[in-house]
Amino acid sequence: MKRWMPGLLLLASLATAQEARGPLIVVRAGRIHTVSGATIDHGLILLRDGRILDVLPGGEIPRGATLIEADNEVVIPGLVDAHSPLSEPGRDADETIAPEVRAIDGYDFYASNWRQLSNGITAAYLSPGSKRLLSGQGAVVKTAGRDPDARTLAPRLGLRITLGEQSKFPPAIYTPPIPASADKPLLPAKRQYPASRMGEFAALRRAGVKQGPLFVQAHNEDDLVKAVMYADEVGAKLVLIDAEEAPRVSDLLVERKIPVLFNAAYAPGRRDATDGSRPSLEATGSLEGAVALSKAGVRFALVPPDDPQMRDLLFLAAAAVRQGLSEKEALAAVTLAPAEILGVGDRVGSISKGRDADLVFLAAEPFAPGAAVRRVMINGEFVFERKEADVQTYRSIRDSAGKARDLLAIKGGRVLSVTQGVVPDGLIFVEGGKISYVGRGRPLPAGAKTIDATGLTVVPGFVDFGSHLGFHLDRTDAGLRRARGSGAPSTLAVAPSSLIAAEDPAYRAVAAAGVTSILLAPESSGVCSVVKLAGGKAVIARDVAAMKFTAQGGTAGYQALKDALAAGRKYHDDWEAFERARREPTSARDPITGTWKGALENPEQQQKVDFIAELKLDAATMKVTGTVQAPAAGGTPEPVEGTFDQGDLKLEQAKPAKVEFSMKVQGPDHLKGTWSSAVRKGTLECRREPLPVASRPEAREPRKDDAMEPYRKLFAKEIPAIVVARDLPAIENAAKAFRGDHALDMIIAGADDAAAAGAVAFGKGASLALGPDFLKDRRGAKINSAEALASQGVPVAFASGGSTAASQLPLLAAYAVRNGLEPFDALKALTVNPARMLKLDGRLGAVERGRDADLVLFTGDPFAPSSRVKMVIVDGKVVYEAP
Amino acid sequence: MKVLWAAALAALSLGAAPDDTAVAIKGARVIPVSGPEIDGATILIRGGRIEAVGKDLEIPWDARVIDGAKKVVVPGFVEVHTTRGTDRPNERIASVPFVSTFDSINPVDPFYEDALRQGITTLCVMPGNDTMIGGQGCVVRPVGVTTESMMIVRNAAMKISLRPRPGVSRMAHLAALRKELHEASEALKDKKGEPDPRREPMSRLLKGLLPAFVYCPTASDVHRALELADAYKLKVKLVLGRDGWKAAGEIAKKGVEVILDPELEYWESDEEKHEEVRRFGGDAIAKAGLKFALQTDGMPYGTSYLWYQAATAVRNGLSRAEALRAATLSPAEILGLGARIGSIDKGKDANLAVLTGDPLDAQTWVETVLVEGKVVYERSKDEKLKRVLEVKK
Repeated sequence: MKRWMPGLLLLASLATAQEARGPLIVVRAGRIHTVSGATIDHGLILLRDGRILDVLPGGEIPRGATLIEADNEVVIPGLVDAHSPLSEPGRDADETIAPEVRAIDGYDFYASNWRQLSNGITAAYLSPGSKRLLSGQGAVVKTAGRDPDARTLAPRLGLRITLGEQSKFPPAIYTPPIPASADKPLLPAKRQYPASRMGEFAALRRAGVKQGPLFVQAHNEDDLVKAVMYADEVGAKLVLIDAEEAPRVSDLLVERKIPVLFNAAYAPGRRDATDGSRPSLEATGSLEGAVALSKAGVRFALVPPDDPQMRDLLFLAAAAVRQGLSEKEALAAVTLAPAEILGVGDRVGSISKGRDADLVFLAAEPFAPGAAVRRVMINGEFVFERKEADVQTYRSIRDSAGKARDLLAIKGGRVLSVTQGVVPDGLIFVEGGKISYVGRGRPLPAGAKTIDATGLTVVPGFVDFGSHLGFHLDRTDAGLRRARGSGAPSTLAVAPSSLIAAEDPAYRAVAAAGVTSILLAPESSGVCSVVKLAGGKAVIARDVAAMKFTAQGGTAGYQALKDALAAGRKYHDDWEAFERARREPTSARDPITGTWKGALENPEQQQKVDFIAELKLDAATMKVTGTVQAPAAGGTPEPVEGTFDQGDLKLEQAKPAKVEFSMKVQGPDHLKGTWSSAVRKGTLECRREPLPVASRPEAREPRKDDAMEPYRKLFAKEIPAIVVARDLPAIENAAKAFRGDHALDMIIAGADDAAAAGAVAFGKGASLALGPDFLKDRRGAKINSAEALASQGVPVAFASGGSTAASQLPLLAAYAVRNGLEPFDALKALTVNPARMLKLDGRLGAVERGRDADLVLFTGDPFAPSSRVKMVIVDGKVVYEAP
Repeated sequence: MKVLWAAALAALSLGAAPDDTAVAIKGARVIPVSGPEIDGATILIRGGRIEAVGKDLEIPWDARVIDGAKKVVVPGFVEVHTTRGTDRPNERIASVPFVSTFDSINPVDPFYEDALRQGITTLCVMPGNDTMIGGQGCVVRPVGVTTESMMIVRNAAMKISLRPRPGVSRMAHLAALRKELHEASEALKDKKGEPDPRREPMSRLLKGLLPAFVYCPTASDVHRALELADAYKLKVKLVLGRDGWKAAGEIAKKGVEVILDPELEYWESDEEKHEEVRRFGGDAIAKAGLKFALQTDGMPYGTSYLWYQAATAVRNGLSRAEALRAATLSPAEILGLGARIGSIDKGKDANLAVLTGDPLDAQTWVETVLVEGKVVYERSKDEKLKRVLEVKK
């Protein structure tokens, strides 16, 4: 018999119980957020055998203890993912009622769960499914641990019920008899409940559920109420999952003490799973729901959206803080609250006596911009340690103090001017919608309207470098909701500013997030416009602000670009020639070249002599060469040299004597000025001889083509080209066609591997626009394209690429900062970079004298995920003020 | 049980009548597996059993003598889990405990011939890995013209697979398996019910009379298999997947015997580093003190190369003794036949392979194979092999 011996085994386990007093481990942490109790600075956490023995506010390290130094780290409890995809999501059994299915059976006890651990998630609720009415029993597990027992917190936890459309119309079930006989005939497949809500509850009653807790996933108000009624009926404890409309029934939930695993439905850095071309940033409204729940007093935990890639729970909580949740509550919503709701609060979720030693070591405060997870401990053992090279420690926007009336004064704020450094306790004057002063300590003009920005941070209004907000013409609420999925027109021959609904309420929402200017762009090619979000509506800042192209790789791709640009160039050149001819009907010359005749006056001799000059201007160097002569005084043509600069002509004659001429352009073909030699000086005036009629160019007007008109601005370099180039061959082609052939200003957008694209683009003098998916996983490291590009010196701008997603642009930048981008680079990417790219840097992108008074007042650092927009000013007018 | 087997054997052994033929293998290097290697030893065989092993043994006058000079003798290899040698290994219905490979074994399948050519003398032919409760397997010798004559143990074990069928989740698979086991154990309690022959295998399984070979495609499934074993008092042997070694600690706690995946070396992707990492789990299994056997089922580079599997294990750091045992005595013990086969010891069946060199050397040929004392394979008479090796002119 090779079976194990129970007796021996028992002895062995007794022996281990005896030895169980393992070594004492002490974590000395810079700060400990216990969550259940107070926050402790420079505290000690005592661990033994995978449990927390005690938490002390400092003191001696006990003799013989192993010390873990975390003096520069912030320690929080391991995060609890209250609805994780770790257990074969989406592969439900066929049966509509399947209480025997256990989620724990789908969990891989030996998986590395690297993604979860790197985000600080140490425990997770496993759902048995989400497509059947009663899909089975849930479980709570740890994400790491030596063996299955160490990883299991609750092997079987409650029943998982899904209300709503997902669970309706389950498949029919076919069970053939083996073998079929007259007694056991082959029967058709059995249809199952439910097809309606009636069927739902009929099926649940037939299932005869007696025990809870019931984990009921329900979305809308009616299903939520029905779930509460059903739980009452069977007398079971209830936990609601997802529950987007829970805020509407908060009274009921508070009264019955029903907790909610609230779906935050927010995935920074991810594109929408259903449509790869759109970011999924749009549905963040639900975070406001979390705030509402908190205010109403509903017990809730934050659940990340159903995306196996998205597990940055801490950032999710930070985003909730930005919406108004308190930091303390937000941290609890991803630690202790889910642990308690899942019934494992006595083991995980807080740092206190007797709890499991599941700790997360952060580089900074949990809601600070650089709160990277450095180390993760489960059961007292480190299960994740980030390589030092990957950790970007946060440096606040430190800069030398900045150098640097009558209607609006903003005083007391910390001004991040972008172009001129930081002005602490700064003062900004706004006059006529423009900034007239940025600095410190000027007396306030009498009668000035004052905004007190003490404690706030003032930054320039943000610029979204690509959005299609407002393209939907339906302005009803339903239309808006639809519009979240709808896109921009693919190509546009006319400026999009003429197509949008200027009073779309969505603009107000976007402005409230601090985005004051938007580049409206078609999907693949055509004209882009810049609008400003002033007073709740879109005001056109520049009608034709850029031209968008889509580049493909290969010879054909290059040829297509080349042909398009050649046609554009020809159109531009034809018009340019015509305009020039019309502008200068008498000559097609520059202001200097030609024969000048006039008079030279010598005040001493009080006489005028004729003066003739033959001059030629080199347009490239602005150097003037030629001859001058005074025939009446017996002079012969003598060579002169000089310069022409902004209407000032300076000439110098070397022989027979040194004479200097200084003249100013008075009008077309008219110069006036002085001359001087060693002995004399006097005035001088002359006019240019008209060209002979025969040499004038023919001024025939080219045919006007609306579709080609923007090319004139493009080739005049008034506007840039935005080129969508996905891969390197396409980028190479774009660089060749736009930079190489025509030296146009070019911004690459939509590059799959933006970091690699940057290397190419930088070499060719291009800039880059980045979408929400700037973060890539490569060889285990998160590659932050924004950071990679910025550190190479490539100018980067952020584009939301969506519609209402524009309102999430600041959060997008915050996410980039969290993942290593320098805050100052992020700030530039939202302000001065896009402004420069659009050649609007005289107006947008900085808090600087002379620019538009577009200002955003944040409660804290603009990239601290927890800081909120307090006020938004566009063109000197307050367009949003936080309630 | 042993008495039962002995009776069965008496009826089904090679020849119809007990025979007394003597065979002697003289002057060979003998690797008994159960003990140290002996150079220049003689093995005496009578009546199909090993009578003696040692140096300077007297060779009986009536013995057929096989010259073992420069040869190596090992116990016949034991293939502990194969799904070949039948028409197809899986039924389509998920739960078919009542079927048996007894009905599907094809004695003239070239697979058995090949097995002999590689020195395999015992095989356990099991249902495949695709069926939840796949049916019963049989232990056979690769010799005989009828299934009956090949049989060593009919219906030796029940095959259970934890690999869900395509489209079914692990959770649903486990739920269905538990349901089957639960229903069968309820039926067992219900004494009044009419005896149903189709229920019989499940009753034997739940009573512990029939061991279960549980296929665990991933390390996590080991936990579930052990849980089922505890819950239903099953006598389980684990057929591990590639990464089954990760659960070695857990298996060791229960002292369960395991069969390693045929892919001993494999590549696993490291999620964190995005790199492919080469893995070998045999050392973890050996270190945990588990009894383990090698198998060749479904190997891409040819079947029945148990010696190659052993050599692979040695290449990856296992000791030579451990590796050889895992192809002979350990599988025999896992099949409950440790007292009869698997090593060269007095009293054991004379299942022997005479090799031209070291068993783990790729240049070694199997020269002669004896099953229960009878020479059943001689390379010199292997016409098929000759045809394959013949140089075309």
